[in-house]
Amino acid sequence: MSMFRIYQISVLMAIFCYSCKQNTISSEQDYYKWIGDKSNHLTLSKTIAGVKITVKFLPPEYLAYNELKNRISTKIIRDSLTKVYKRSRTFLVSFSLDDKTNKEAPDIMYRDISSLEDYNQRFEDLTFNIGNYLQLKTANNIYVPVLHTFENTYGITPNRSIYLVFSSNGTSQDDLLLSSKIELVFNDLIFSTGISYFSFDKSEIDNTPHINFWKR
Amino acid sequence: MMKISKNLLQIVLVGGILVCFAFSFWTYLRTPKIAFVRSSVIIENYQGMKEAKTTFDQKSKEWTKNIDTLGARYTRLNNYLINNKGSLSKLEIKKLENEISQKASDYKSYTTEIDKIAKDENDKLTQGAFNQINSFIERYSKEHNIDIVIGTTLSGSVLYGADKIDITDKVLEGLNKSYR
Repeated sequence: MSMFRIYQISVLMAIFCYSCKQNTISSEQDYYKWIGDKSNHLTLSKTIAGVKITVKFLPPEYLAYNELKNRISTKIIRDSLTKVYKRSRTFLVSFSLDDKTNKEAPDIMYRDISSLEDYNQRFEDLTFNIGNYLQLKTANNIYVPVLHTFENTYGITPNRSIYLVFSSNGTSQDDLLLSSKIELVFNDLIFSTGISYFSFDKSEIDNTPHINFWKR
Repeated sequence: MMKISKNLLQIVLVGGILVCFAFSFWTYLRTPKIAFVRSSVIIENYQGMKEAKTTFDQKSKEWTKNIDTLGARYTRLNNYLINNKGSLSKLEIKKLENEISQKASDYKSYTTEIDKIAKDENDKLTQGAFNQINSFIERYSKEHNIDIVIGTTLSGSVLYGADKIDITDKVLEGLNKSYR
């Protein structure tokens, strides 16, 4: 084999190895940064009337990692848990105020609130009724969240977040998981920002990097 | 001497032209850029407003169905009492009258409550759509260096606007593009 041929093969192998490495991330911070990077289209946000709504898709492998991160686990357990999470779609929806309005009402919970009754209603809507306002749409079906958790930070941060899980719930699971586009629709009667659509492409959901930093 | 005064004149002339030019440019920068929007066109054609209206109409239909059901129950009982009063005992009539009174009260409470809820929800839905429109116009104005955007209303706050400062179609196109 000539030197030139060896050189060609080495370059090709280097390129191949580099492109493989591109699809794995080696730390949790980098992974979260990757998900939060808007150019990867897994985090979408809109600002309407000073209220910023951010929707982040949480990949199944990341959810499995979160559950197992403080334990040593085998590949079989990790794959099995990832498979469970792959049967649903999980999102993190955050509400915050943009910089301009922060000075007037720093905490989103007090935005446009004029009485204790209004505050209680807002709290109740975010904690118990959010399923009435947030739905997932595919081409053929509409899904309501099977689980939702309102993260109350008790004033430590001015923002609030909600975890949402959508599952097939008796309708075709294929539609939820294989639809080329899914849209999270927020009909906002809480902060009066109107109806907002957040669209996620399946190709981008499938393109999330693999986790390479499991505890071993 | 003549040459010096000729040069001085030229310098003063050039200086004067530059000052005039600078003043015109400064005036142009300071003049606010104004545009107007035909509000009714935006409101009628914005996808967000249409969808808010559709959502409200769907809920209204549901409420109307419930009101009709309550009304039908009341009417059925009332008709039964009227048609069978002769064959019923005093106790049965009293029991029916109480039930009819309860149904009437339920109907009245439900319609009053629904009126309030419907108004509340309609206000919130339309306010949300207006907030989206206003936020978009703010972003659009900043991108295009527009200082003031005036909205026309049916009462005629803008009596005339030249086409070149009418940004309605561009705003509507951008709004609908950013909606979904």
